[in-house]
Amino acid sequence: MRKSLALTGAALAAVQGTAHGTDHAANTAHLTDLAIRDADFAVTLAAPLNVNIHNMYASHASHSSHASHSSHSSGSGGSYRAAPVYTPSYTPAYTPAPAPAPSTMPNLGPSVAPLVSPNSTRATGDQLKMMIMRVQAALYSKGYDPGAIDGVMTSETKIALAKFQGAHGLPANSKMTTATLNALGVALRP
Amino acid sequence: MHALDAKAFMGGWTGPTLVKVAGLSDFAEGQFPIERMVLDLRTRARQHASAALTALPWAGFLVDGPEQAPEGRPWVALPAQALTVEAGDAIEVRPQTNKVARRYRRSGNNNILFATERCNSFCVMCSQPPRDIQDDWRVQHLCDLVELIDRDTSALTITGGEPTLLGQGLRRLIEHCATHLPQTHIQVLSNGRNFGKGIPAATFAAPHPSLIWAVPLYADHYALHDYIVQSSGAFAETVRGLYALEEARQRIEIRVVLVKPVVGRLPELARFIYRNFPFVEHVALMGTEPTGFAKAHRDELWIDPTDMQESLTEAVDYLSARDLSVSLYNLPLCTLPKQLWPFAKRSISDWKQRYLPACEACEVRQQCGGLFAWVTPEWTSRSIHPIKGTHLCASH
Repeated sequence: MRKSLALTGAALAAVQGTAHGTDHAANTAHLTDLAIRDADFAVTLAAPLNVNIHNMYASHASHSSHASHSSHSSGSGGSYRAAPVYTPSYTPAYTPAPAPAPSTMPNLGPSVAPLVSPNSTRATGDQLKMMIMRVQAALYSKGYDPGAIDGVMTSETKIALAKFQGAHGLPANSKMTTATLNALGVALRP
Repeated sequence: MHALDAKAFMGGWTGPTLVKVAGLSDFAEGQFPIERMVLDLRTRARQHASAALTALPWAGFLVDGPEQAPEGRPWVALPAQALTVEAGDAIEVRPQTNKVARRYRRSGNNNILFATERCNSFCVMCSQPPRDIQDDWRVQHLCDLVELIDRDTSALTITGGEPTLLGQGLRRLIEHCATHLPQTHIQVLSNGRNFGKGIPAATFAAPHPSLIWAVPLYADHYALHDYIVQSSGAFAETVRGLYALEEARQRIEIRVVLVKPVVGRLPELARFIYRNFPFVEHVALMGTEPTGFAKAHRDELWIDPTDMQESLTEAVDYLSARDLSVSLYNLPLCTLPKQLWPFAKRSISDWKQRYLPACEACEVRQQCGGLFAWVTPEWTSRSIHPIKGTHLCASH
């Protein structure tokens, strides 16, 4: 694939070269040769971090408590996008101070698969908390001060997020949009 | 070339554990499972690590002292200056011996996957003397390690021993690299002899997009090659192996270690390579690493790079004029004629490379690969001197 791209590019360059006289053509041939050799060593650039992944965190900006997330009675309430068909079999029993034992976090229980399926449009409390922690960690490692890395969208975190967005040409809305996560280097994988 | 290790303080580990050291940005990126990372709490970021963060199922914590680790969780502390471990590195915590071994360095320019200690050759200048032991366990170990290596690592070297002695295990390792590190250039250091002995090279034609075999060839004549590798019949097997690799459409580099007997026929070897293996992608002419068996055979092997300038120049000119790309490894610039500078690469891995006091005043030090850390006066060229007042562009 890489090779074929390089060869195509080289062929196009060679065509251009002939149109510009022989000196240029010789030069281009040399460059073509270099390009072909270089193709073996070329590094394919990765696609942006989050492409074609639904961002179920994008609308979350102002929840310091996750209690509200346990209510699914209104599929289109507030700032959520509609999620009419999703019926959780899991009751988000989020405890603010999880036990330190390694096996108890994240405490998603047996119904974890449907929760992270592409069809689910909402984050569970634990997922959201994790995403906020990762955003806080990214902000911190990029020199912003989001306060404690605790998974709570505090005012400090929101200010830091807005500052980061402003500095990266993004709308400073303190929301975890896909563009913001890409700029932060936070992957949106389940 | 084993990864370095050091004694460490630790607690709470149940067995040997291979883990990645996570800085905050590694946590943010989410590329690796939290269960396979230790959170680095040594930095000032510690103050920001809330209970919620440390309550995540980390494999453990890298700390300055046990009091920094969350209650009841595995921790490890490295004594100052014992071993440099930074975020992104992969380490093996071994509670039985209270040791930590570093298996991958994010900032390293030459990370290796050590495949086996066994070898079917016994080269007089071997820097990594082989041992005949059963170490097939390394395959799984390396596969685990590969999963903890950064996806954007530019290059990895699979070395040994002779990696093809792992048989299908090597294929499995390469396939694992293809799955987890498809963008990383994988280089396998192999003497190619097994390909000449009935193991089809196609066995190893695992679908890694960027794989190259680096095969040593020491002479244009069997007697000299077999002497250098201390194995009768090795020359014929390596030659057949090179053709087998070519037939399996593999990329090949030929490596020549510049010990005295080899330098004596270097121009002949260059002609032999061009006439018989014009398909190779790269030829590396390499200074000797003064460690392992080489130390015991110093008088037979040592030739001052100053004294090989003539044959080196002839060989490089011959090959490069015929469009075979040539590199010079492990040779300081001041020991080379200036016309060979463009071929010299900074080839010595950063962790074992150094400069001499004479290099302080050198103007081309930044382009120079320096010397092996274990170089001694008797392995040091008489030509080592600071280069001054020269035009810095080495490409002309």
